[in-house]
Amino acid sequence: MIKLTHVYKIYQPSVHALSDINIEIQKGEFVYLTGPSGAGKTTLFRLITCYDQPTSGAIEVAGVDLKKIKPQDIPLIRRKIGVVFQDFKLLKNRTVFENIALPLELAGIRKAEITDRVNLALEQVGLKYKGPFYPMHLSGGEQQRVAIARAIISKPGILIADEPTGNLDAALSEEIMDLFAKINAQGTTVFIATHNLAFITKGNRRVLKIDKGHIVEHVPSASREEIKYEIELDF
Amino acid sequence: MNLSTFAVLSLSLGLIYGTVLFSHNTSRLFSVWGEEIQITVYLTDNISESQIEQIKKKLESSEYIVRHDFIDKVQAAKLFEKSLKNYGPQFLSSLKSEVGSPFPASYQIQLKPEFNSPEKVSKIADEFSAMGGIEDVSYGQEWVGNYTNLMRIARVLGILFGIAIFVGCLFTVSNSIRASLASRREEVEILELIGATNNEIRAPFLIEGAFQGIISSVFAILILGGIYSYSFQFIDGVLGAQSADKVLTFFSPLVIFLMVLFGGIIGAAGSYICVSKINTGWAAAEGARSL
Ligand SMILES: Nc1ncnc2c1ncn2[C@@H]1O[C@H](COP(=O)(O)OP(=O)(O)O)[C@@H](O)[C@H]1O
Ligand SMILES: [Mg+2]
Repeated sequence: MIKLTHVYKIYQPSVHALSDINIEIQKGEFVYLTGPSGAGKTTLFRLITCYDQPTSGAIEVAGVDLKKIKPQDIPLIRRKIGVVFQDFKLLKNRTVFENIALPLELAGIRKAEITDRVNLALEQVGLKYKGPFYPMHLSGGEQQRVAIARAIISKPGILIADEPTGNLDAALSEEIMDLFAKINAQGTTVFIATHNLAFITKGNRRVLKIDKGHIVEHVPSASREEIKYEIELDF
Repeated sequence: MNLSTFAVLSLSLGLIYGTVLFSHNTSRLFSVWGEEIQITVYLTDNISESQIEQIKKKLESSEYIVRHDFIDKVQAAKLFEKSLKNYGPQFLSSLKSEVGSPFPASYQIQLKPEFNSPEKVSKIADEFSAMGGIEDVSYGQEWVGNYTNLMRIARVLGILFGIAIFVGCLFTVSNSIRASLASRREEVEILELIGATNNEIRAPFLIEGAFQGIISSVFAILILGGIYSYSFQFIDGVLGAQSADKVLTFFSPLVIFLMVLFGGIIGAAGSYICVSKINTGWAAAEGARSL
């Protein structure tokens, strides 16, 4: 689903943000990308979502070679990837319902179907009655749920989240992570960047650890239990 | 749209449309006041029968001639005598015969009012000059020539002036959209994120620009309408017997429609100058820069 081969990203004049990154994420996987601030997590996500080109190396997303993609096809790739950010990125002047409906409107879907699907998504993220509210009237955790609902509303196959719990306290973070687990259980590939390891220890997840642009450790999901303690010591 | 954008746009478009209205009506006023313009075609003494026939045929078939009068050599002498009667009557008495008259025969041509513009008069005069058997054509060349030159200069200046205002309008709209784009950068970023195409992102801004152009056009035309009806009454008084509604015209509905359309196109074009820079990562990059 996501495949990076020998990916380098050098920002001028000489910031080696990513060095020789090789990652392969299969359909339906749940993968954490973790590492300290400045390690290159956001840079990696920006490459996957076509906001930037690697300095060298190849990236393949949902079967598309991003090096060969034409500028006018970039929006089409983005429609296959749901993205969630630390700062939610909701439209302030639109209701929760309208925010979630946006990707469906762009896809030209009928109004009645939009209503059904948005209501279903609201229910999935536990905001059944919040549709008519504006984002500013919601708590941070609720706003992030809206952002997640918007990211998955068009059934994108891949869900990427860059520090999705960065603005939330521990309890809310856990709720959000549970939501990601639920979405993953329905078949969506989930790739989450975070420097907060508290919840990584929960569940049996694959972890990629990145530091100074290098993948320094790769913990396959099967062997989670054994090295759990090691990772906790690292941070 | 803020007030200053609206004011600058309305004023600029008003100047362009006002110039069109003014020049159209002055040329119409001219054709009314210039009713006395006559073309006199002087014939050569040795003109042949067939040449006369040709001239007659042209005079009768021409769509722009109201009437024409033939004045033979004797009549010409008489006319001359009449105009000089008070100065020296005896001087001319000997010349009142077909052979003796030194004055050429001529046709006096009166043009229809709509052909009374200087440009058309001189064009018609040239047509006659080119025919055989014609000595000279006279129509007050000097002042018509001056007027024509003046109009030519005015037209060139008008076009330059129009282009300057046109460019000004583009930049006014473009600046206003730039501000609107900056204030909605986050919104654009979100649209980029969820996979909106460039055109889907640009469209609302193009519509906003077109809307500014259309509103400003309508306002400019309304103001011109006010100025027009005020001057109409004034000119009506000055014209006296001639009623102003035969002479002055405002824009026809078609022209008004075209002007509003023109405003919309300028607005959309000005907006496009600004939003053409939007690409699939523009807003996100701008956002990163401002952090
Ligand atoms: N546009 C940019 N220009 C130059 N350097 C950048 C740019 N974006 C990120 N960097 C640098 O690349 C490195 C990785 O940054 P980033 O991917 O944001 O890390 P993380 O998301 O893991 O905190 C950092 O050293 C950062 O300063
Ligand atoms: Mg980051």
